[in-house]
Amino acid sequence: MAAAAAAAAGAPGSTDGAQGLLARSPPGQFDIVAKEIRGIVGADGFPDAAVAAAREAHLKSERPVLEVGKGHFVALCPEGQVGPGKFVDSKRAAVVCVDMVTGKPSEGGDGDGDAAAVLGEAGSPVRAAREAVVGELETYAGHAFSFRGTRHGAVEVFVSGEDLTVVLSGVKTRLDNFWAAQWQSTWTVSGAAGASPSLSGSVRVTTHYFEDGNVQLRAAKDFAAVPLKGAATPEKLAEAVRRAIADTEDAYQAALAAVVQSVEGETMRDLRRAMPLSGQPMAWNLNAHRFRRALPSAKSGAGSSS
Amino acid sequence: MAAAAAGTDEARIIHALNVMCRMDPARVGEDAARVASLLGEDAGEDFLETVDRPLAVAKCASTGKTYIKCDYNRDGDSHRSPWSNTYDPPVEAEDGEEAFVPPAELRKTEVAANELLSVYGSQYYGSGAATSAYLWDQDGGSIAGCFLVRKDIEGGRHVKSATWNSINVVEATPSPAGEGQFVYRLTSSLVLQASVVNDEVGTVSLSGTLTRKTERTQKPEGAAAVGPDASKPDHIAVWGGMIEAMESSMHSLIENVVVAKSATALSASRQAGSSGPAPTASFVASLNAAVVAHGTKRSALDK
Repeated sequence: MAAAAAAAAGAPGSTDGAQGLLARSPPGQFDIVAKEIRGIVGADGFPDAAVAAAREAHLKSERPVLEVGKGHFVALCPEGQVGPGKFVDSKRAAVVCVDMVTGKPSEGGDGDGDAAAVLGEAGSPVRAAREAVVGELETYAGHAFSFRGTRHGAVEVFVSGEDLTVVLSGVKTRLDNFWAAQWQSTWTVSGAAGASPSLSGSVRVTTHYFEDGNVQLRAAKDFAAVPLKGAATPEKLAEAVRRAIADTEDAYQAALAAVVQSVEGETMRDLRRAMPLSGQPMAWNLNAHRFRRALPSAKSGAGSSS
Repeated sequence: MAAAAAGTDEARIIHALNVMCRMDPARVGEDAARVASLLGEDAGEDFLETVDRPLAVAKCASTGKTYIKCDYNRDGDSHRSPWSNTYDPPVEAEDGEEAFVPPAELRKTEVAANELLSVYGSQYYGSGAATSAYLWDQDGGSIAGCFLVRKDIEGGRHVKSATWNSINVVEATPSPAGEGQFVYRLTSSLVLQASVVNDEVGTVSLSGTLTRKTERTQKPEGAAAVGPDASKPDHIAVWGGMIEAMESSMHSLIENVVVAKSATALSASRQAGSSGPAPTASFVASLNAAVVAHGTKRSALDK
């Protein structure tokens, strides 16, 4: 274990350790962690190129979102990346350029031509399926990734051969209230334009609460393929995909909430009682305990005061 | 992204601790090693001493009792058992300097502390809790110590495993006010890890670290007026009460605040009920078309 930790740390003076830390920075806090790391090693020790490389690794696993217009988000995910700092906004069929050092939208224009590779060939059945699905799921994402009327997430749908890849990502941060959370799911619609499409995927959830501490929930589950019935047209397929994803994610979220409740109740009680067995606060007096232990009838009175 | 050159070691360690506040507590060992590597050898060692991690346990070779290993009973790769007061493996004297063992008087207090902490463990944590207390002298007539508790549960109804680690570092310093009063300080850290693995939720880890501090000034039992007849102050009674209150407070904090905040964050990450009868895009499109058609028809009728 020590050897594994040492290997993860990277060679002295290298930026491997910093990139490893940033790759798993909590929801919406990549830039905060990057700033702290520069506080440790200085800007020279962690140059812009290393920050950009770390962001690249971070988005591969965490799929953060970027607001590119008022209430319009793009999921920065490897599935939609078409070049260094270039990501496809699959709702608008456009390319968004991102400064990988600052994480903000950058100049450079939208090279829409680059988007074609992940949006499907014009006029193809799979492209028609993609357009129907992204439209349907945009409505779904607008509802799912809304907190007190403000949107915080995105959906992207890309073509991969005969399949569609769906990415849903919502990042909600309330850093002034010491918490942040992310819901991230990726789904594959296999044979999207065929007669027997199916849906499989995975969900990852992270929550972070850090007032005078650091508490994180990290959850992940894979979902095996299920057939999508009644998907004879692109519109019917889109509806079936939305219903299947929404039902699965609702059930998963409810199951996670039950786990959190169980930790609050049963698990905390199993770890430590709120009151001692004696029902009274401890008497931190050795003579009292030794005396009670010596009594033939002494049972659980060790905590009682004397 | 602008940033100044790295500052003093103290400032760098503060940045390092800020990083650790954002890393996954379930992977604290791996991430602490990464951060220590960025700090370099000396600052890295200082930093690692401040990072709270799950406590390790060992079996005392002499008594067979379980004890807790930490930096406070460590000498190189050896740890001192609070039950036998011996190191395992034995420590060779280096340059004529023996490994630390408490002086006889302090050892008596340490033995009493361990006996009471063991009772406390069974009262609050039930069977299977490991406890250890270690004491040492400090300059200026003060003494310090740490009171450690580790409790594990396996195969609960909901969780696969969970562990509670409490690290209570205490200090008693003669108060400048005199009159037998002492300033008592307590820093309590709690490292909690729970994991769930089942078909319904896949893999879930809920882990965290919390730290709280408290201080009070009081005259302990037995602390008579200063002088040759002064009886020995009973620091354990004061520390014990402070630890008991603090651990109860942190237990309650986790139940009532921390877990509730995690639940809030979970529900905020995604709005539940999205599979309900929300209007579909095609439905919205057809509704829009109907509205447009209706408007067109009205316009035509109005003409």
